Amino acid sequence: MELSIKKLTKTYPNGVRALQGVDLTIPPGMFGLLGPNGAGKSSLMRTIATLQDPDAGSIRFGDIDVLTQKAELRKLLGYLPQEFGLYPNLSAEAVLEHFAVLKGITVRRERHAQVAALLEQTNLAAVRKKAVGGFSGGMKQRLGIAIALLGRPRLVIVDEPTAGLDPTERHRFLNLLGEIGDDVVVILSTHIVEDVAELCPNFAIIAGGRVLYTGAPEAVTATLRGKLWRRVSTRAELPDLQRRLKVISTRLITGRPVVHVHHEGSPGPDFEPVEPSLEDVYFHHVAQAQAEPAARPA
Amino acid sequence: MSQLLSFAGFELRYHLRRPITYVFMATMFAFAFLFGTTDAISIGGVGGKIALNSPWALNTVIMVLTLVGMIITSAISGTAILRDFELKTHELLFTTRLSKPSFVLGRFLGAYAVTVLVFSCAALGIGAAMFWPWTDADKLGPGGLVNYLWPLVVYVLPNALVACALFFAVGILTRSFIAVYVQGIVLFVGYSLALSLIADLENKTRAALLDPFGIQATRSVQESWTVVEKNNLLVPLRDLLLYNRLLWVGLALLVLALAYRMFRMEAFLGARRRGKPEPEPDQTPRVATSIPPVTLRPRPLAELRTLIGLYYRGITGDRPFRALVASGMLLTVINAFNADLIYGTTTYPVTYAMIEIVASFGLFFLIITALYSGELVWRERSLHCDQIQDATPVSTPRVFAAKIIGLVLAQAVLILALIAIGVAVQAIKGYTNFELGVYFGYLYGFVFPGVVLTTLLAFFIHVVANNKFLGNALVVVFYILTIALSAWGLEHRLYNFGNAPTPTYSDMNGYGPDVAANLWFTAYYFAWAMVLLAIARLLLVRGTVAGWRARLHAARGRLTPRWFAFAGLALAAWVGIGAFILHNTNTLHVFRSRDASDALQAEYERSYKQYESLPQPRITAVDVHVDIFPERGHMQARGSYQLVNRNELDVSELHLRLDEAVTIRELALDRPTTLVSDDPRLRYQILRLATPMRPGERATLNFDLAYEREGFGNDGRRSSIVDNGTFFNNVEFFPGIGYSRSYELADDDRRKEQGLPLRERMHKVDDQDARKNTYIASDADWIDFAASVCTSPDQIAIAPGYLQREWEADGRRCFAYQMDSKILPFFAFLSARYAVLRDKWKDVDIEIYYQPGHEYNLTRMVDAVKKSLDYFTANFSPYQHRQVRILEFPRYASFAQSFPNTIPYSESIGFIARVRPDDPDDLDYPFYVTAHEVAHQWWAHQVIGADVQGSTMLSESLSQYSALMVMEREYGRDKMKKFLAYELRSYLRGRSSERKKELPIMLGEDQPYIHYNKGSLVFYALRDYLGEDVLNATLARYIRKVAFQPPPFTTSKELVAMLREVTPPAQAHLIEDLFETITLFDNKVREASVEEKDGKFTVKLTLAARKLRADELGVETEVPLADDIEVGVFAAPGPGETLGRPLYLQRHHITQAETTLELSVDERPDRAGIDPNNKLIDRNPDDNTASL
Repeated sequence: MELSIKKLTKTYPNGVRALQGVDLTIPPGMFGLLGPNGAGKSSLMRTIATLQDPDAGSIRFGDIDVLTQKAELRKLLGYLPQEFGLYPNLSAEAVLEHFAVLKGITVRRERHAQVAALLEQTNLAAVRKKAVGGFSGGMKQRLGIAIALLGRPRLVIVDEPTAGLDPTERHRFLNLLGEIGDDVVVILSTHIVEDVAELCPNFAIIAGGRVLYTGAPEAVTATLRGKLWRRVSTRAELPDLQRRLKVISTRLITGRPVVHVHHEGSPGPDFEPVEPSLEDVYFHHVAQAQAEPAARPA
Repeated sequence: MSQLLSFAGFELRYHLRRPITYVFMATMFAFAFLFGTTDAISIGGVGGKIALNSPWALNTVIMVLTLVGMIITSAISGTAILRDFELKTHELLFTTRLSKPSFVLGRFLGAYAVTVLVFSCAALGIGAAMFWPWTDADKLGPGGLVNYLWPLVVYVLPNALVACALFFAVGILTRSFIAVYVQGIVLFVGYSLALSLIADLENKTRAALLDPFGIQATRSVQESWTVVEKNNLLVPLRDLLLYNRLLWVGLALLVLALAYRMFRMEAFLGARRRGKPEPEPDQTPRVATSIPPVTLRPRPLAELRTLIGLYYRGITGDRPFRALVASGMLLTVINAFNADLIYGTTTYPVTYAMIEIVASFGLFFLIITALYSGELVWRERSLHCDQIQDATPVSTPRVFAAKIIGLVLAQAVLILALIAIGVAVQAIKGYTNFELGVYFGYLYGFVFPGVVLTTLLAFFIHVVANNKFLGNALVVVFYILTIALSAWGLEHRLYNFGNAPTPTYSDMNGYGPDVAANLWFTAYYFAWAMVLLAIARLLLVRGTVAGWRARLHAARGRLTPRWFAFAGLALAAWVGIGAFILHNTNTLHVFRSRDASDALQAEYERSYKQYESLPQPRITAVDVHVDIFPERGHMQARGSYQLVNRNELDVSELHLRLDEAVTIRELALDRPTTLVSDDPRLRYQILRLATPMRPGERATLNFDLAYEREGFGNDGRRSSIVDNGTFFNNVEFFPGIGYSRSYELADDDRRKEQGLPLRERMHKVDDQDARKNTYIASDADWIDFAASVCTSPDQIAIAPGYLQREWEADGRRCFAYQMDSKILPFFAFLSARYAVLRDKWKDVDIEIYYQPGHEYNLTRMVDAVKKSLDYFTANFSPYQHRQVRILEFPRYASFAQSFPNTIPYSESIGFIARVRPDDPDDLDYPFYVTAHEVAHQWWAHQVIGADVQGSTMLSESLSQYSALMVMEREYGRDKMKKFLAYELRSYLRGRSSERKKELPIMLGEDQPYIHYNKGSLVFYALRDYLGEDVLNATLARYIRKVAFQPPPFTTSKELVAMLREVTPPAQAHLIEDLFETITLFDNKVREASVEEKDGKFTVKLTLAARKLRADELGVETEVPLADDIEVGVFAAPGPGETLGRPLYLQRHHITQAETTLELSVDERPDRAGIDPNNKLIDRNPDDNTASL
């Protein structure tokens, strides 16, 4: 089943235009949604997860019209919001059992088996009797994904799950996501490029409520090949560089600024070519979007 | 220092920026303002001659409101320290140069300043009420700013300090918001609990000192304040009140100092965290397990059950909930243990007493509902798992329903626990008649539905408000509104949410006549609650819906046919039931607000007072047949009055007055008349006689009347005709003749509201015109009486008189009664399924008609009747009847009342009294009450005073005296001390709550504290001075002179004159002191010491004595002293005694303000003093003796 989103717009009562005509088609498998903070990722996620209505547009998941058949979609949905809490006095097992019932897993034997399997899979079996109020961030996040995976959903939405996790936890979490079957649509929203690079056969870049790019990571890096240049610079000359060239990123390496520049052919003798990474692509698109805020075809 | 002050200023500004601070201020302001402008909140007894802005009233309001404010304080000062930890700014703060004193004391001072500001709003509120244009200027005194400021000094500053210090310390020690928020309520409960524990008579001083808010100390200082003192005096900051204030300010500072020492400016100081983080499970690589397949089969019930379980456990596992419940239960246990204390004597812990104590847990239900409805509506959103839940297929209304059910279930389980407490207390007290059916029936049938309704409303409010704070505020507003509505004249229960007449459970009559009304009103409000829930369903939030437009948009999508069906059905039920109730209350019955019924009374007076002195015939005989239909609550009375024109003028008009509920089938004179005027609401009829009745001429008034109202009124049904335990008297249903002053509006304030002139409560003692009537009735005096009564076949029906015959007719049981002598026109009819105990005293039959199961005190009652008859016939006069009957009636009223040879006696007094013969503290009050009522057969039914001042002295005070004598014979003089101490205290309290004017006993205007409490003291003292024989002989002579007399009737002056005759000239002042004036003594021991020599003890006493005369408002003037006052020296008291055996007890003639005496006794003395047994009326009886 495929998720297709058409012309989705949403403006909040306070005037923030969170979505401005989002069109996306998401095939089964991991799909990365990359964008800076405030890009509209969470709005889009919540809209897909039936938690808020758009002003216009449509979302279909297979045969289901998500905006009108919310109940149908929720049966197939696993959702892990960006920020969440759980009943602090309940044990991990009790929390899972509770949400399992809410998801409609009412056959007791099946529910127990599923909960046990998920606890095992998320490596929480040893602490299943412990109150979740005492869980660390990583444990809580893993429990969250366990909840999302209850009832074998066909559509899994995880919103910025790796933010704030230490590298070990982050990897453990990404591994968990990677184990979800290929026939499930998994949308992973993140502002960490590596998450997408490591996991997602397809991804989209979203900023300012618009989709800037969608495709496969390899394909997009290919388009930039030969056009990216790098140079170690100084603080003093940075403004000048930024004015003259399309600087897509500046970062410090051992205390000295290193700039990446998008340019057809070498921009100068001090520059050396670089093999484009997904991060460069991301910065390139975001920088471009900021430079020319007019609508661009995705 | 400057750092401290600037930090305090920072704290103050922080609070002043928070809206909640202004809500607190507004709350205090509103409470005080409502007190000043409405009757919605009443504290103490302002009104009458006590000005609304009297120092006493302002003092009381501001003082009591500091108690209310305390609950608020916990949120201000308890969180002052915690806030930084909560906001996680403490590490930032503690690493600056901020010093500990600046931080801790600064925060404290800031919080204290805000608290004082909040509390002071009470003074502002009451002050604003005085300038409110609708406040009656006549109710105001001279006023003055100092009257507002003084309570701030005496109560607000210290009480705010006590509360702030305590909460501040708890905040520091527990580091727990929960503890901080609940402690206010817990302290409040603990406080009321402590009060009930120390409220005992003997512990007055201790209670006054221990009360942290100074309320008890103030009470003890002001206990006997008179009108004039209340209007003019600021509460004096001395004695107990001063010590109390110093004690508690000192303790508060100590607590603060301790808290300061305990506090460390560290990240965690023994701070209780939510448990330590879980250790990470070992990270051995795991095999990817496959997740087993599941079938998704939503089962609504399973979902509902899981959700309910979650919410139920969430509530019951919550610490504040447990703290609340624990404190509430503790209070219930204490109250249950102290169920129904009368004169320090307990009743049997019958189930109905228990259920009412359990029902008083209601306040906690309100608090629980208010706290947890909001908590539950916001549960997922405040935990941030709302999005997870909302993304599951679970239905939103189902989650909402589960929350409601979870809370309601918690409350239902709470009731179960309360029942267990009730049963346990009964068992501990050795009472084993556990009526579980009554517990369950009453609490789940009548208390629980109200709790559920409030809960439903609270949920509705929270859903609509969609803001936790606003929701909570609105719930509180609703609570206040329910109190305020009726004060604003909106008294119909149809617009007072959840308000249904509450049945009173009686052993005799079960749940009683109000069950139907209760069920209908409850159904009405449940239907309405369903409408509200339907609306709430539309507005339930799912997902992240922002703003009203989005909510309304979502609501439109939810207007499904099912919704319309449900809402339509609920609305139809609501309207339908409402219409049915309205039909009952306003068509079948009459509904009138208090104002409207006052207006009607005023109209009665305006329209008909002109006829007050119109010559009317008098009733000389009553012959009536009464049909009681207990199961339907109906009755019919057919009969006749014999009338005679005793005037010297012709009677050309007959004026008749009836209750408006009575159906008139026939009401006609035995001669031609025309109906000149008929007022259906006031039921005042004027019949013009075709030929006037000549003086001395006789006539017969025939009547056929019925009370046959069906259904119920706004307050349920009349409780006088019920299934088992009918009790009504002639005044309720029978026609009266002529204008009667007793139906006029009596209260001065209410007369003023109705624009009526002020009136005296009673006619002057010398009013010769008023002496034509007794104070019982204005249309008859002594009558012949005969009655027959029919009732259900399983009941016995009773009327005054002797049973002539009993028969069955049409399946009903009938009794004919006939009186053999003339009686006062005051007769009652009773009917119930009685058991009968019969006994005999000489040739007098004694019969007690009682509810089977209430056998506890029957022999005591019989004994009291016999001993009373012994004493009264030996000392006063023969008994005029051949029978004494005591009849139990349901507890809808709790009095005993003496009709001719017939004494109805409430089931709640005496019948279930538990007098433990071995307990020296227990007074045998069934014995006492019975003796008092039997005494009325003399003092009322033989000697009846005229309709003037002082007449209740002749009936009530003399009955008190007579009963005291019977009691003293039975139990000895010592036992009387405790009784008289109660009487003295009740009298002093009574005169303190007098609103109009206090009068000397011989001019009393039906003032209970005078004719009962002072009456006991006066006649007991007189007996002491004159001797029992002399006093009784005089009373006997008085009876011989005035018993059964025709008009003009006797007055107190006549008795007092006879008493004066027998008083020795040396004691002549006694009559003046006791009867003719309000005389008070201020006797006390100044110094007392003892010296031992050769086994002899010399007691040196310096005694102070003053004699004061009070005017009707309590202004006292000292009068010269020349009184014989007892001086006594006592041995050490035994257990349960206050004074031991007297070693010396003599009257001394005291004429000086200060007297020094040396007394010699043979044994070691313990206490000594002046008037040690409190025979004189002394405003401070406690300082009459001193320990040696």
